[in-house]
Amino acid sequence: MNKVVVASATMTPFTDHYDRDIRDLASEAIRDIFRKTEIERSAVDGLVIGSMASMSFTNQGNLGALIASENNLNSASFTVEAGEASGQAALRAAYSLIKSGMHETVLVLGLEKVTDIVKLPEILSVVNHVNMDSRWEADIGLTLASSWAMIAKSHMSQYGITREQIASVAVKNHYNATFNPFAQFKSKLRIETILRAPALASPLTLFDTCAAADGAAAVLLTTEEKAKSFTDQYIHVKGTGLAHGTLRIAERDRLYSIPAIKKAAKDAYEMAGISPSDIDVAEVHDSFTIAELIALEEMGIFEPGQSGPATEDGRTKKDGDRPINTSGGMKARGYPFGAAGIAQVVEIYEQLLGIAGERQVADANIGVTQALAGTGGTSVVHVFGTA
Amino acid sequence: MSIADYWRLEAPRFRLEATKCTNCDKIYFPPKRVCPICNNDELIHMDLSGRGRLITFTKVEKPAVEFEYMGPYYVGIVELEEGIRISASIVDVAEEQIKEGMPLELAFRKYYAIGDEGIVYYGYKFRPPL
Amino acid sequence: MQTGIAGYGVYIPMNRISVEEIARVWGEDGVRVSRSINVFEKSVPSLDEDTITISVEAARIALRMSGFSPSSIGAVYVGSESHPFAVYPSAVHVAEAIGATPHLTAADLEFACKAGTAGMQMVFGMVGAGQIEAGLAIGTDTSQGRPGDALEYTAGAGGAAFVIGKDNIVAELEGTYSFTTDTPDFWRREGASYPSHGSRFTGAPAYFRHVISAAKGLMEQLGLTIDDFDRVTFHQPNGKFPLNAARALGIPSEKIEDALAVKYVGNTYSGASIVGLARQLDIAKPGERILLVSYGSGAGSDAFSFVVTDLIDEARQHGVPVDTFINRKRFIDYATYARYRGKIRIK
Ligand SMILES: [Zn+2]
Repeated sequence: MNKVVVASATMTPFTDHYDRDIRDLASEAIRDIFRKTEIERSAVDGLVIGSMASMSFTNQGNLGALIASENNLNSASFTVEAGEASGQAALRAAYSLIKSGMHETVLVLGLEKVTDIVKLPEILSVVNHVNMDSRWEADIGLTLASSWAMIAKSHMSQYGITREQIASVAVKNHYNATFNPFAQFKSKLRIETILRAPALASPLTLFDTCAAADGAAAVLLTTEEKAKSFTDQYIHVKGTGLAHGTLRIAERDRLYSIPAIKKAAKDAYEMAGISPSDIDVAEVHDSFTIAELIALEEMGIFEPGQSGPATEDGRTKKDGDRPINTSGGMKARGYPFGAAGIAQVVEIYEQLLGIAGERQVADANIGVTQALAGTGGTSVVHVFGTA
Repeated sequence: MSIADYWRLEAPRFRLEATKCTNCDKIYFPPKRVCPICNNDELIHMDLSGRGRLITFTKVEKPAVEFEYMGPYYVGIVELEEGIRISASIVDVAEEQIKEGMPLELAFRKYYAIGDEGIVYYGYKFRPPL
Repeated sequence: MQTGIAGYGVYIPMNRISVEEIARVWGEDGVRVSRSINVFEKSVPSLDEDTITISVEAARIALRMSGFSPSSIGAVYVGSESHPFAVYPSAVHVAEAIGATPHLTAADLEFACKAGTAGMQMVFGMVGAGQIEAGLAIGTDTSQGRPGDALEYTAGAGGAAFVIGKDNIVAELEGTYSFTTDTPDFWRREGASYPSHGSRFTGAPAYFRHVISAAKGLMEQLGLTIDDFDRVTFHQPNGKFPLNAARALGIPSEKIEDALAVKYVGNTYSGASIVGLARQLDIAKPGERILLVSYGSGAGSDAFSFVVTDLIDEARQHGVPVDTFINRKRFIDYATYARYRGKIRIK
């Protein structure tokens, strides 16, 4: 069988790119792939785009055809949407295209242009309607933040973790981002600043979540055989898992756990033949601080209830024993929805190749990415390895 | 929400009309047309009691654009007497009064309006019993 | 078989603003204003409450008390001068929310503050004629007074709903009589946010002439005198007018005092006289006779005579007393009131 590898990876800075539209961002990331990789555009026979809500944000659909034709890619092209997990879902689709033998080299592009909507409540409306049950939750006044707030309350009461431990996720991700030249926020954040920020939905504040950002990230997937013909800078895609849960938070038996993450992780680990203790570095979904804590527990990196204390103790910092979100995560690297899942792969690519500069984790051989839509609608997990 | 979607679902939105499987007696809200447990597609309509208790809640301080006019407001998960859990806004409740486990009952309220000239959407919320 | 009220219910939003708080903003002496209008506080709808939501809440209580099934309701009329839609009936929302659709007739009515009793007369007529088994008549308002206008002290929010039929009657209708003229004492033009009024002209030629004439006309029609009535409720634009009308008719104030919800919830316009009726029904004994006279500017009064039946005590167990709503309150300041009433527009 074909071994699928990531043979190139890049991203634009994630920030409010008022001077660039969705086409500019896509072209910039794609151009950079071909500048740094010894491969012709004509060799790319597939383009899969992960984008969450380009219709709502920019009034443009069918990005597959648009971006392929704008960038001289004569490839089969289409877009994958799975809410906030769109980028990672696109990666899985591209992986299966190659694994099946239908395609040999597929460019996966995560893309989101958010800030053409300038009013935050309007952005929130889009994000809520895409990722929650639009009819029975978003349309009756719930928000993603309020859903995460109720999950945070449940997690705190179930495991006795503290509000400070939840906030320490953002502190840690901001710290990690200070070493990332591509990060949106390169400033450190203090616990007190998070706790005193304007309330979002109690107990969460504005600093428990991400700022609006635009951006694109691209990775080139191909077979190991093909990759060897043009580069030695590649990592293996060893496992993939995708699972879903109900969109409606009211239907979850236990708010403090997210079964879709556990299932996606289990499937990906089994496929890769690894266990959680083998993971050297991971990029996980931290759209809200509490999301990272639960992800780490569902992924088996920490025991249930232990991720809060571990984060507070610094164990998940880039120089800790379980480095998580070395890029700064969505919180500090920036979070253009569909682009974020691919940016996670960019970070793991650099970590496993040992080219992550000041962020480099020592002896990183197994890296994992995890994405999530809403509070558990869809989760996607990928395992990458140096061999 | 569109007017057609609103119209199709007025019964559940206005009076918590659920569906009940005639085979296994399971009640569904939001209503389902086919029972996912036994695949029976002969489900009958029934209005839920509208009485329940608050499982958990939070205060929405940064509403989406549709609900900006209301903010801040409470939302929560309500467990109805029939054992069904639904998400809802909690109204007519004070900061010092709202707490997990408190009894609640069905209220009929405005959701939001489309501008000054568009439709006004109405439906269920919950409040402390009168 | 006689027609009558089988179930009744009211709904009043829980926000209150005191007359003193309003007076504070306009630099007036709140204690003196309160005393002069005999109103202490008024109800204010929340941002998500309007005539439709209030009507639905009142209708649900009335229907539950009546024992009638939703499908037996053959007519729904909502009388209001603050329907949320100029076109798209409040009544169909109520019919859908109580599960009475589709085999019924429905309409919104408008006659200033007497549209609720106009609907009651229509339903009494239809039930009496055997056209429908039962019907629902509702009077609700969330009316506004222009900031700084005298009306601002009283314009409240609330409504009352009545299920009318021939079975399960808690108050039997003895007769109804109306007195109607063209009298321009109060109006609101299409599209205008606030009503205009004729100030002192709303008194003698308007409210008092119509209320007193209707009461007298009804008594003459039924061969009754004022002494035959145990309880009275009039339209209550403030706490003084109904007392003065009662005095002019020779009615002792204690017969109307229990009806004066206006003192605590303000003038609920289309709901005002019938919230008063509901409060009298909350405490009346079987056999007692109640006089109801509404008043709508423009102008007209509908008068009714009811006799309370033996079923009242049992029926009350299934209702919600008016006092529950009077006592369910949270006070807001003028700034919050201004936001809730759209006097400050954020969008
Ligand atoms: Zn079944």
